[in-house]
Amino acid sequence: MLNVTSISLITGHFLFLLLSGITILYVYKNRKRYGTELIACLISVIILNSGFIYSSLFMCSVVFFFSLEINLLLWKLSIISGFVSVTLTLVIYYFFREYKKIPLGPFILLSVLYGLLIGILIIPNSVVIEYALPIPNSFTIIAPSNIHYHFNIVTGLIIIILYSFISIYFIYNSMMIYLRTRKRERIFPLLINSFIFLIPILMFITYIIFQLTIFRELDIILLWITIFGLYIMLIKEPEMFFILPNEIYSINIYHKSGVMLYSYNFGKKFEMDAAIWGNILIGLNHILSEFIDKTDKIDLIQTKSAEIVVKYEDDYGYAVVVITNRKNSIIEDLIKKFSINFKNTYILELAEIQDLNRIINISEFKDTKKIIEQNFELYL
Amino acid sequence: MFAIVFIALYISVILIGIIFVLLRREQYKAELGFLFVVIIYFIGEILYFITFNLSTEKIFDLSFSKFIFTISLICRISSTTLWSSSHSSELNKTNKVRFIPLILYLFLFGLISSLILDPSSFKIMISGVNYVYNFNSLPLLVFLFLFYTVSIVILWITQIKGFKNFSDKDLAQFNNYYIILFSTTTLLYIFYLISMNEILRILHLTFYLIGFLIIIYIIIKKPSLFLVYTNRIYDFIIFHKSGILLYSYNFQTGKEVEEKSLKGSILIGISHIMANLSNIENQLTYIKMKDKAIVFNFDKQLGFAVLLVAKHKNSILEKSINTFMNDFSQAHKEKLSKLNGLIDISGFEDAKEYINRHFKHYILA
Repeated sequence: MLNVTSISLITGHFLFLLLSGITILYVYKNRKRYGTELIACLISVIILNSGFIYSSLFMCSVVFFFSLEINLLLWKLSIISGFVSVTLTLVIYYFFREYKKIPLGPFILLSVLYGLLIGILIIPNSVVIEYALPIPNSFTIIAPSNIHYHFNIVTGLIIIILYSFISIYFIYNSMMIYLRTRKRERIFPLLINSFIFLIPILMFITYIIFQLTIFRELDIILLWITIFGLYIMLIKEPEMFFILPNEIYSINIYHKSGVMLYSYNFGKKFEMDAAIWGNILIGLNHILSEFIDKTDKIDLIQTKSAEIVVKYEDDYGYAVVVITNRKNSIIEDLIKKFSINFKNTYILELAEIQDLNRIINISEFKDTKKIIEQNFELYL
Repeated sequence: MFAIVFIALYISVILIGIIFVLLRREQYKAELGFLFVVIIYFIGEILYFITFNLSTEKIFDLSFSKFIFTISLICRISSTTLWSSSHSSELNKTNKVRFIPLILYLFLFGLISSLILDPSSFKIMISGVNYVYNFNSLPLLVFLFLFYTVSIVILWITQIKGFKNFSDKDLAQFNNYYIILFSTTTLLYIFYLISMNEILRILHLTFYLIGFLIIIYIIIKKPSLFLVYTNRIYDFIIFHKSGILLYSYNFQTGKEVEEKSLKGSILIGISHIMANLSNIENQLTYIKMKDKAIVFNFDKQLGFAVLLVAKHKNSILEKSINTFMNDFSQAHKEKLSKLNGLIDISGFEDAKEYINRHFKHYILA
């Protein structure tokens, strides 16, 4: 039996599928603008899961009727898929703070809660399906208000704890990102979106507590709206994923003789003179060549207030030294790209000064500024 | 009957272990986090052994026995999670996925706990003089089997792949024997849960006790267990700010290294570093390399530095360097403050005593 709610939900669902498809295509085409390919890939997985899998499972379990068992199974799967989406979003949020690092403490708790949730959903009476009218034929469209899923106390409690924990961690992460970021005005939509994201979660919790189907339908509609907002943000501001709470103090390029070929200061306070690092680097390499396997190069130098990331270019006899507050994989990727550009631009000059007896004219490298500005634009 | 004997034996072994550790407590150094994990592990194991034994004997009534059997299941999973995940994270220190086994175990732990908490998942029955438990929930039995199988497989993969990472090869061998015993005990345990066969239970408990005895023996025999599981120091060097080598010690050979045997490039390197870093505020503390770490510690007042090449940096190592620096500075304060012109390094030979005192667990040669 068709009713307004069913038709509205089906229309909304197909519209949402279309938007999700467009967004995935956009993210794929512009994946380089999202910082790293991993972030672009994670975003696509989140869209695929929330836009296609979660939404479809939800729709199939409340708008379409197959059989009591199948609908119950689809409903349980939709709960799991919903949590997977939220967790992946949480991972992305954490990557803003520390790229490619998963915080152990919160994820330990999440693993246990996930285990508890899946375990409880396996138990037959954890969620009970009820149909208000005589059971309809299979493969029919039904009024969502007629189908109802009852959670037992333990199942409801586990879902509420899991959602509450995720919500609190979401807000905490968003606040941290916002407070630590230099360009707060650009990260502001992310903060707002995190707060709006709490509304559908709250609706689902209310559905579990009061067992009223209206909250369930409100949950999916509000979720579509929130995710739609996220899609706009993803399309409009892909660079947002670059604006990390990291800072770069300076970039220095040293020749193997210790001569500093170029130095660029990002205008932040850092007490050490850049020229010193060339000498120190040579010193360290002298020591390490005796104590340690020659293939084992310096990866990171840590001082009391900064971390110095070193990228060697053995073939061309120079090293790029980036002084930052904290090393992360995005910085490493950017250094790699910068080094390739630098090498390609100054290939002749670098080849000439391979001979240590040649006089090095550092003015030849003065255009390095352009390469730095091009590669590290968002840290400027 | 058997339960009382096993529990009595078990408590005796634990008491002997505790007394030994307390008597030689100054030899046991461990990072606080690691120590915490070890304590939780032992609490889990003790609780498991006692509750598992008591739950099968007709000592308590049916409902209480069922309750303590549930506790024993959860304790066994918890302690296996702790032991197996600590093992894989210690042996894969530099691996980015070192905590994946922990996440997997915890997920399965949560899943099994949910299924155990369902009152209808298993029922208690009387069989002769014992209680036996019949699992009604097939998923529970399947996930229990999966959990223990996965833990054994991960343990073996980690042990085989990470064998080379052990600093102490004797310890690595001990670990091999223990993992063989652990695998046997666990398989007997899971087959007992499936079949509820009394012989399997007694065999499981016997192997379990032997395994526990081995753990206690290792703790007594190798106090360095908590410290040098995988860490290793290669070189220890003391330099004056002028670039002169005051003392050098190689932990692999267990011998002092004379200045003449150190190549010129080291001295050049040290001169560079000391000249540039000895008087500035933002000093170098640590250099991370692919497979090694170099920890620096400067004494700006007396103008000397300690450079330590190790497998990886940790808080115990840093603490040891600090205490070494304090002792060394105290002992040579006068000499170091007057060092200029022609430097006589013969007065610093006693540095070995301080190394022996502060880094004795790392001296393998």
